Amino acid sequence: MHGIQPGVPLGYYLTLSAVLFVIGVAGVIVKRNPIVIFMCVELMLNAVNLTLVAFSRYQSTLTPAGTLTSPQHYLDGQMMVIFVMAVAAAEVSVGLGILVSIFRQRTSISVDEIDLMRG
Amino acid sequence: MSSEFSIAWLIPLFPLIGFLINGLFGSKTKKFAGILATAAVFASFVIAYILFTKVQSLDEGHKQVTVFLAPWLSNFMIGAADPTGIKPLQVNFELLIDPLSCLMMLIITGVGGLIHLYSISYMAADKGFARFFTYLNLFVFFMLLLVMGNNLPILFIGWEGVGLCSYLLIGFFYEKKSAGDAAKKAFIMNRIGDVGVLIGMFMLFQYFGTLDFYKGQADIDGIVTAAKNLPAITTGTTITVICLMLFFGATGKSAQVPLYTWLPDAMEGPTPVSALIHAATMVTAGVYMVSRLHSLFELSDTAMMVICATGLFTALWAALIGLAQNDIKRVLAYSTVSQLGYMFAACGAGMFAAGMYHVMTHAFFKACLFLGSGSVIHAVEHAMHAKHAHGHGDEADVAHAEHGDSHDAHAIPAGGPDPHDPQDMRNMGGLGGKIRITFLTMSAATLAIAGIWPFAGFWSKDEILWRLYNVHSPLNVLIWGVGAITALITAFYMFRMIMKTFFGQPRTEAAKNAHESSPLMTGPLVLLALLSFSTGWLVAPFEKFREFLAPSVETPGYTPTILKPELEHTLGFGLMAVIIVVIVACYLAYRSSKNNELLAPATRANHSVLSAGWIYNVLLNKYFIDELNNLTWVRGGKNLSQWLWKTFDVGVVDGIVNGVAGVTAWIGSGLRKTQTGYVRSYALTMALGIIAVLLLILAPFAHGVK
Amino acid sequence: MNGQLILFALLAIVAVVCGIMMVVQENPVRSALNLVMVLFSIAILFLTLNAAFIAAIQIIVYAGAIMVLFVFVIMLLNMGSGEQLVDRLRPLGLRWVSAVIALVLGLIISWAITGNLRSAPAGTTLSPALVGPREIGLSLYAANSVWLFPFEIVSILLLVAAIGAVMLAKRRI
Repeated sequence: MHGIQPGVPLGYYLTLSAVLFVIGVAGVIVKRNPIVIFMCVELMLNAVNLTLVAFSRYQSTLTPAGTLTSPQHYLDGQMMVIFVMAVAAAEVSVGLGILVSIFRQRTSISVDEIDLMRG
Repeated sequence: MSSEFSIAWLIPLFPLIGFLINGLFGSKTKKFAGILATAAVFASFVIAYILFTKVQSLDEGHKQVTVFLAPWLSNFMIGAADPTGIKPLQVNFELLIDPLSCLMMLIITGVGGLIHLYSISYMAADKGFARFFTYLNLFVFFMLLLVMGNNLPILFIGWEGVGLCSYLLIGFFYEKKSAGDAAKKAFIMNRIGDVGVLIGMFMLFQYFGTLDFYKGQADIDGIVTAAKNLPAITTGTTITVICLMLFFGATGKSAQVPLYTWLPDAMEGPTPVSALIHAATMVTAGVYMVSRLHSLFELSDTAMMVICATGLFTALWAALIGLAQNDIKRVLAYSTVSQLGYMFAACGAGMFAAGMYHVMTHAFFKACLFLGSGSVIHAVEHAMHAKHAHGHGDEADVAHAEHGDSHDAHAIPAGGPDPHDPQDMRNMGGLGGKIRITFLTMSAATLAIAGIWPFAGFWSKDEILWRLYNVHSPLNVLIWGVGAITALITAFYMFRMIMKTFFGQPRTEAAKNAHESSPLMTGPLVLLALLSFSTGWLVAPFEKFREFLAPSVETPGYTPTILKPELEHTLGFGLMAVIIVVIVACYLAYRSSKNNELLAPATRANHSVLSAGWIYNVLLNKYFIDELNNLTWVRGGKNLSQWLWKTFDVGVVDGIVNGVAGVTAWIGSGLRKTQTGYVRSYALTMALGIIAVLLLILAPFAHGVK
Repeated sequence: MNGQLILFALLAIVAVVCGIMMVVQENPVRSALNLVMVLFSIAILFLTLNAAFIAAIQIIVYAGAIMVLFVFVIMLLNMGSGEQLVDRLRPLGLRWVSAVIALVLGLIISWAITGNLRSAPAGTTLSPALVGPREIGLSLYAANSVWLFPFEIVSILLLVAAIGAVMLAKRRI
């Protein structure tokens, strides 16, 4: 196949991903609703997924020609993303189960209420 | 090292065996303990006499024989490679047989044996009979070690050992608080002196590289030989300091100023103990040590002067106290301190043979005096108890509760005597007719101590005074004068004691009913009195004695005195004439029966300063030295340890330990605040940490990857 | 300025704005919907990166399953309205602090990435092919592939997660 020139430089994708990641970090610190905190974690995961896919796409431009033998190797980033998604799904189900079991009996749903480990 | 002298190790062995048997099986031996102990000491005496004859037959110049028993300390490995480091030290269990040690051995075992014999009868009623002989044998063992050792550590073993036995024996009547206090006082003051001996030993090793007296197994020249070979110019202050340190130890052991106050209080012990330890043997250990190391002391004029001055001062000081005492044993105790002062004065004047001669004669007559006083006390006490028990003289009830004046730090009032005190002379009187043998023997011994010809004391004291007169010093007349005045005072108070005890009319009921003691007690008295009488002209005249002892105590080329032989007899007999005048005055003053001192009771009670009564009060209270010691040293020591306890141990040390714990707790309570329990603060911390880690990792790439 | 750049800019703006809205909103349902928008824009970005399969499963799994689960739980816990929640860390002023942290972290990461990217060797090109299920499958199940083993492990992980979720959320054990 003939190649095409990349239209958007890799750096743009990576910067976007960084911005989304950082927004997620800010959200984890600021929000008091545990579900929303979880959603910010999901945002961080997605940012990372974006990074992985972008690298997998631009991998051919980053490696010296001839070192990677088969096209399959260019898919490593996307394979990782598949697994990240699987694990994220598992994590969400378990995490939400925990949240449900903690906050089922409570009236106020604030993560600041969970302070039993206070020294 | 000659094999025929190798039986020397038997001499300390017999008393040691006696100690072990009586100590371990005392409850079974009971009455037999006394005979066993006495036999052990007399066996040692026999062997000591055999060695004495052998030493006499040795030729001149080879009079020192060392008997090697066993190696002890040696550090040849350390310091051998480095000449500036620790010198190699070898100390062995080695005995030294020479004229001086033979003399001391004979005195210890001979007089000791007689005292053991006396004690069988004296302590017969006491329930600690076996314990007494255990301690006595242990004492003889340690004293023999002291005089027989060839090096300073062995001497020091004996030194400490006799201090221990002194403690055990003074505190023999342990139920009495005053006895325990006196024992502690004696032991502690001895120990204060021992610091001096230890420091002297350390410095001696540093200087000479050896601690032996004469060359033995170690094959290095001993201290005595090495010191003889040192010219006096090269020695300097080190030797003087060594000598002063050793002499300080001797003041503790031999009861000189300032460490003498334990000896009068040591009269709390049974009378045989006072006779053996505090008259004949232990207190002469200091004189022995000084004589043994004579060549060392001769190197330092300053030290000799200090010894002489201390000896004379002590002699006068103690004699004045003895004038005012009322307890018969106290008088004898202060006279012991005074006579020891004479011995040190002789040694300080360079005449060690004269000092040792006085040691010998003093052993005889002082032991006789103490044993005689024991006999007197025994007689009066039995009469007191018999009176109280209405004649059912049950020996077992008579506990020998000997005691002295109160030892609390309050002054002794010049009041009347305690009517139940068998030792107070004011309760006696007129005993001469009732206890004849004791009276005669004690009088013989008193004539000896006063220095009347031909009794032994005349020869020894006269020799000392004459030597003092002849020292190389512009003050020689003053020195002689102090000695002479002390002799006069000695005669006075000794005869005061005799008068008050044996002459006049009995002052109490008990004195009227006194009776003589058993032959086991009077036998040794007679023998010692005979020795006091005849030593000077029959048994050991001074010239022969000095010749015998010369290899041990004389350094060729050392002349401390210029002898003017024409003055000898003039001084000696002139002084004796004055002494006789004093004795007659004493007799005239005291022969009547009333309790009359030279001062009337009204005068004695007058305490205003500069009156005769005030002087009497000061003398009676021993110059208040005990109170002064208590105020300064004892109180000072207590305050120091209080301060160390409260301020230092509790405050500083505990404070540091608790402080460490407190700091830990404070840090912990500070760190606790980070555990907020809020997820969000944890997330914040994590974010900050991530930033920090990223910065750390990316810092090396600050200028891009290339 | 080509079409790909404009598309990218559009999607980027949507993603960022929705992300910020998600963090700022009080109402949790609104936050969830904003997150869905972010997920959509990321999916389209995946498409521009020729990762068709990933884009598809992003929509199906993430937006379709996970976000639905989130909304279920929000409704279950009755968080529909944006009530005032307890804020124990008020004094810390976490809004400003987190904004600063976000800025700093973002700068560091961006600088780390862009300052260190090697420029592409001259003339290298990208392959124009879309990566569909065929390529993913070949990569997963090929004989010498490295991804087979993680695939099996993840399947067990999902089983464990399912059991765990049931156990955790039961009312009574």
